[in-house]
Amino acid sequence: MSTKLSRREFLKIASITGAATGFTVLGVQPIAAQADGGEFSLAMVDWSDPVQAAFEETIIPRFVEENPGSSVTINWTNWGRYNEEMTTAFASGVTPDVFQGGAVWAPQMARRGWAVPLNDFISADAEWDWDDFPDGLKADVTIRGDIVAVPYRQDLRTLWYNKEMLAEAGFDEAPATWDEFLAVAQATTVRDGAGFDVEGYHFSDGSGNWQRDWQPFLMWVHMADGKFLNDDLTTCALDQPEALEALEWLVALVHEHAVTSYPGLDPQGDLNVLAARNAAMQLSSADMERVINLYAPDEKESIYPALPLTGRAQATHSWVNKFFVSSQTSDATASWSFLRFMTRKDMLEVYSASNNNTPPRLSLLEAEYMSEKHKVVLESAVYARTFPQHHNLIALFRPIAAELEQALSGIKAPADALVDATAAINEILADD
Amino acid sequence: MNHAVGKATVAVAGSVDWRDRLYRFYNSQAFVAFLFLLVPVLLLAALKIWPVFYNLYLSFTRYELFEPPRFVGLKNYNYVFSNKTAFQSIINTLLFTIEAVPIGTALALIIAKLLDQSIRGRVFLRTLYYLPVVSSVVVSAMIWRWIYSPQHGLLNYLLGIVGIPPQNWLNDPNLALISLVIVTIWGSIGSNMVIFLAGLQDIPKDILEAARVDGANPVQSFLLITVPLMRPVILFVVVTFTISIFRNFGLIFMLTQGGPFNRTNTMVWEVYQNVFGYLRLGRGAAISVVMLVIVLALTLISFRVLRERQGA
Repeated sequence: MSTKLSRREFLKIASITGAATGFTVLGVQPIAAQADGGEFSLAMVDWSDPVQAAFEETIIPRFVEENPGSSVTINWTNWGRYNEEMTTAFASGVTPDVFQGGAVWAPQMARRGWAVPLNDFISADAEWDWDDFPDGLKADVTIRGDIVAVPYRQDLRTLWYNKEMLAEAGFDEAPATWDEFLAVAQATTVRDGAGFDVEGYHFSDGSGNWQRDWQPFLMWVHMADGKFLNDDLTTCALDQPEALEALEWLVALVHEHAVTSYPGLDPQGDLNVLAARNAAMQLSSADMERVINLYAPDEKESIYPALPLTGRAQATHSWVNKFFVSSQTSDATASWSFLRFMTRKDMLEVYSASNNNTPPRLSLLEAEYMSEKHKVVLESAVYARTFPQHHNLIALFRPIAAELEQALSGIKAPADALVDATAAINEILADD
Repeated sequence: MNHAVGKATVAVAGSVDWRDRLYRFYNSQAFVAFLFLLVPVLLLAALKIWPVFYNLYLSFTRYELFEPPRFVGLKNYNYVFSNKTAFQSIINTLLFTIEAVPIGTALALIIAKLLDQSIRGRVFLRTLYYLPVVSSVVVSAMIWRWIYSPQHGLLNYLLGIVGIPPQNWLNDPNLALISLVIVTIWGSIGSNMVIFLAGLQDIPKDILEAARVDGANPVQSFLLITVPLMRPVILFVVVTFTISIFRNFGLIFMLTQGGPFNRTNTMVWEVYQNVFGYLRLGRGAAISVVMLVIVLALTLISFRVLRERQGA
């Protein structure tokens, strides 16, 4: 017996389906709109098991305890997909109330109008203490007078070295200048035919995303006292002698002195090249200590940080990560109160300790979790420079990344690579 | 007067006829079929056809999401053909296609022919070749990243056994694209093989038998009978394989991110960079349109070449 759908039945089913679809569509509210009544949403890109535990077991329960009736939904994600997630969320009007962002996000969010300016909230909140944040970090999140975010971490990179390897090569102390650095790198390099058993200096990993060379190169540019953009952000400064000196130096490390390979050696799983004893020196952040404590505890007594090297200047770079309040939140005041709570000294300590993050608050320098090694990293803060406040930095970085590959591979002369990169970057700037 | 009455009569009759036809349509099965079709047609229009036209519109604008699109004429198309990186993405995509499609299609056809024989373990081998198709692209990429690893990779280990020095597969500008081509062919052989196997079932056995009786060896039989008779299927595989290569994003995202030296920076990766990296949706849209035109052109060429030969 065949069951045939009558017209009337079909219309009935179609009406119900249509109505249900309509109600569903109408019922989908932007997450931000749910912030009323103490419901908060948060996007976290700084993910690891300990960070997740710190938030879900300590920070959020404390917030709910202090703000009865509140609830927080966290969307855990990672850097690989975060930019797309947030861009599509903004385009669709479904952003979380508060979200994390990376080192180049502040000018970008300000330009797009996607972050709520926090000046009024901050100036009316003496107890939370904005002055506890170092001036450099405050400047990094202040765009044309608007404070658009609050730092939660400073990713300060300095020189890390293997004390044992240096001692075996006859060096008692970490190098402080470029010349000393070269001498140590030459003495600690162990070659295996055309390859390396140990790189005296590990510049960048063999695989990874396009920023793998650009990030360490930038630190060498700072040490050469160079800049990425000029002060008014209208032209690229990479064709200047300082940047050229940095690139020629790096190319010489690869091809003339042969103390680092290009492309570099790869990490061994969770062990980075220094922790795996495949290098004697590397520029890295306090994350190096976390990796060693977790995955290479035998190296705890051999790997140490030192202050940044001195070229024309003693300098390094700091990547400042921060929290934003979304412009799509339905209640900016409530969202600020949530952000304020997370960046309060005690909560920031819990968060920073969970991942060995370098904290952005000066009062946390003596926090219990700060090891002696971490304090050396933190001392580097005074030598740290941050990114210029251009809203399109990611697009500007790309030409230099491609040219660096060619120069470091020996395919292109450093001067030509930098002139070409500068031309391409200036073209983007002019089109902006 | 009569004339006026006549007109009114015609008008009433016409109206009745229109209503009658509508009533009959309403009572017919065709109406139900029409309603059933309406939903997918609307979905297709909203999710496929409208975005294509909207994309075309965006390609003539500067659009950065946070402010309304601004008409810029052909500026985005000028960018596609004058910007070194964007233009290189077109060359890379064409190279990728030229390297992967002929080899991948030929290999899939040969394997399908071999597995169409009555050989022991045929089902197991078919399953084995099909396995990459059901694997996630992320999982496949992770496995190949390990295989290609310059220091700890399986491929370099095997090459080392025969005395070949280790290669930096994914970071050497001369090897990166071909390394991706190998992974793409590996991942697509299974699905293309299944299509070819289905096509091989339609080849009349008596023709092959007649050829054998006339003294044709298996290679001659394959080249002179099987391949010509399989042309419509080959055409289908070539077209779908070409399209899949143009859309190949996951592998590039996972393995090379467009590097080294932008050598694996394909059009789809360039679209992604412009749209999500720099929020230049107009440029991304223009590259998409160029991509569509190239795919259409390649499809037409494939049709022409394979159909002409079929006619000849």
